[in-house]
Amino acid sequence: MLIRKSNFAEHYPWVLASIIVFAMALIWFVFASLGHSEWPSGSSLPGFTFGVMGGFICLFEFLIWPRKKLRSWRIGKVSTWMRAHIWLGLLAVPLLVLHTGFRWGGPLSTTLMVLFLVVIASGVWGLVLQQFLPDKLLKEVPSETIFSQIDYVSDLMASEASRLVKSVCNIKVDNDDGGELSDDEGRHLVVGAVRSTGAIQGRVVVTASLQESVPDSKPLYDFFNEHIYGFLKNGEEARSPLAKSIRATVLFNSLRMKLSPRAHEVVAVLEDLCNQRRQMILQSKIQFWLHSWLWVHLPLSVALIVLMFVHVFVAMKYW
Amino acid sequence: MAFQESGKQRATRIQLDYYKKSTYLDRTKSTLAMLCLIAAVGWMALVYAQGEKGQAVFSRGQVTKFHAAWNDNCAVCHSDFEPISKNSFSMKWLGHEAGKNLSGDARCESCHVAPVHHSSQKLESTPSCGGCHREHRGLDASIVRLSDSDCTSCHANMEQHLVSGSTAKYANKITSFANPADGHPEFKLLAGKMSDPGTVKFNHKLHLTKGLSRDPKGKPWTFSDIPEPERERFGYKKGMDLKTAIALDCKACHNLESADANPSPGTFANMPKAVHSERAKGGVYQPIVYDVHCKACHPLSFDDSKKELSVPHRYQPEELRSYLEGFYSRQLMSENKDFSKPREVFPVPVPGKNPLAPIVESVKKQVEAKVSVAMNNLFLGKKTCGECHFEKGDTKSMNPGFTRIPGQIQTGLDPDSKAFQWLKDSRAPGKEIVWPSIPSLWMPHAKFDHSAHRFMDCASCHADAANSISKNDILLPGIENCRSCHAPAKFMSGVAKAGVNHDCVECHNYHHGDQPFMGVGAAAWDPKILRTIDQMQKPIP
Repeated sequence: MLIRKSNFAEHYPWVLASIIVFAMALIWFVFASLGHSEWPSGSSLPGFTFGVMGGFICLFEFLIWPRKKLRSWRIGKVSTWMRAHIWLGLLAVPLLVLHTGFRWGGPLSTTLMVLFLVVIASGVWGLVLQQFLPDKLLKEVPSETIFSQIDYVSDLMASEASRLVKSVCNIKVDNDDGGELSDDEGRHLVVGAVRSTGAIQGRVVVTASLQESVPDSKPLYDFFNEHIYGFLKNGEEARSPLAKSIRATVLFNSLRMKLSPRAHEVVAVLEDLCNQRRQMILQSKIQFWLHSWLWVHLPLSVALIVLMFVHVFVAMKYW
Repeated sequence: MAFQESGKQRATRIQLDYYKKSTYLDRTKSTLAMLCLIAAVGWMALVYAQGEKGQAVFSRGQVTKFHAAWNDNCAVCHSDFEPISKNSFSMKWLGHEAGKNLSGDARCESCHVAPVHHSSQKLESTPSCGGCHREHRGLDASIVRLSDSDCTSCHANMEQHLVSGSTAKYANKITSFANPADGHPEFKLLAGKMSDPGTVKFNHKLHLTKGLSRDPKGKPWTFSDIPEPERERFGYKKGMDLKTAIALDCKACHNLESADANPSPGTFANMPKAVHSERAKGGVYQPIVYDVHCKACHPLSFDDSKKELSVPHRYQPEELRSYLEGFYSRQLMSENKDFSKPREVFPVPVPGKNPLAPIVESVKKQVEAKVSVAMNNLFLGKKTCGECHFEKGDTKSMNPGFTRIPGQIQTGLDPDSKAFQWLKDSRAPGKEIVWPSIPSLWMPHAKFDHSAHRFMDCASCHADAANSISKNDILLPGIENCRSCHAPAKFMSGVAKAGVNHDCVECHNYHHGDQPFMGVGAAAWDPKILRTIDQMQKPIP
């Protein structure tokens, strides 16, 4: 969730409420510790209160998972949930630290606190990443597609490029079913292309017509087979020089010099496809950083909730 | 004809069910979540399967080393769903009546029978064991080093915590020691201007004067005046002039353990260890014992012709007389050979006549004469019984006003006193020397560790000792003297002052009962249930 000056007004009530609750908790805690040689423990009235508050916050924080899974239920706006998730989660840190009385305790309570702190740290890390990675994605990946469709789109791009090159190089083109292409589908293909209007840029679907064969286009066919096809299909795994933008420009310019000007339009289409593929690689990396913190945040939250219930039971039993 | 891409064709560039397809990011997340769930549940299942042994996982910290045997056995101390402290706010909603005694206390008391703090305190004001002795703070944590708030919860307003009808014996409001305004009163002995209850005449000033002479120009007491075996322990070094005046210091008499007394062969070395223990903790000074500390200068000589003879100490007059009669009888028997001759003079006893009567009568007279002289020496002589002791009932002599003569030195018995008269007739029944009654502990409601202060000059606290001429002087320092160190740290001209512990438990115990040494109480030293080692390490039923 983005936290910017422009939208801070929406966060402000949560921030203010969290600070007020924290300040009140701290005052109570310090007041309760006066005259004692130790800080109030979790079983003291303030310690217990902070523990209950922290526990309920943890439960609420966890509920965002089912809230996301059950989108169709529409229980409150997701943005409201997220704001509450962020600020209440941060409020839980001082509350639960005060609950501990600045002691780690035994194995269970230490595990709980470590889990809690790691969950919070991973959440903060995720929040920090969310402040600039989406911007980076927007700016540097205009041909962004749905993350889960990258492989599918890559296959399409490789397939379309293959048909284009084969047509130019006068090689018989088959459709996906192995049969010969019909007139309509054989003469055109659909390719994605990056377009920009003013400050807005994005990937659009354009239609390219299959050209008549161009003589002496074998260098194109060889280059395609050697570098382009594998790169479009497998991305970085192909270890192609086309993965580097500058290197790709050099290679494509070199290719153009070997071909008739009639084939340059096709080379431009192929170069554009490679450019899109590089963006998809970048998108994959950004997506990894945008979501991989959840590998820590969510699983440890699950363990935290389970152990928290055990902690509550044991604390009541052996008060 | 120009090709026009259909909507279907465009749509196929993205799979219609794309939202149902998960990525490796989702799959990894879900897998890890499942693994964490399994790990958390599995851990708890393992703990449950381990039974008692696994319970240590739930502990909020190790218990103190004295209870470490039960570190992983919660039930030894805890009752299920019952607070360990009866003053806990959770009592009510865990289903317990507020202020009632807890079953957990019985578990503590099965080993530690702690006496009540005060019989007049309200039950609800009496905390449970765990309410004060907080465990789970680590092996080396102290569970008896309590915070002041544990005491001031009642002592800040004592009247509220007393059963109806009883009155506070002590200050009603005490909130700290360090600040006089917080209510801790002056020590009772000093505040009440009481006098030393001991009944031994002792002049500190005289004994701390070099040469132990009242008159600065008089003859000093020198090493030649005391028996050779005793000289070393009073400071004599080989090669010193025997005419060197003896200079005593505090530790000549006040010893923390027997080794401090630098015992000389034949005196202290033969003392019963029960009187002067060899490995005392050192917190409290060992009692002053005549045989160790006094005898060298104050021998109980009774025969002017044989100064080396002395009677045993701690004998009452009747016992001394018997002792002396026996002594002189034996002496006469051994010196007069006639007593051991065979009965040849009167081979046939004359009926009604004791043939030995004249001899017996003669011996009795001789013994009586010697005993009378010895008794006079012992009781009226300057360096014997009367020098230090009072007669029972001699209220005049023991009266604080009697021995305290301003500007003079204590001089011993008054010739007009009953004691003086009594000594002339020491055969009279019921005559008795007053037992010394020197307090072994001056402040029975506090504890003080002299060994912890051993690096300090005695005079820094007991400044009056060097000038005290009366047995009635109480030479304890006042509370302000303690506060000069036992108060919060403060910096004056860049120098740190005070800062030594000044909390309640530094000087006070809670479970003192009626024990003079402020221990946990006699009841705790003699528990009702005695166990074997195996039984001790199992839960209390």
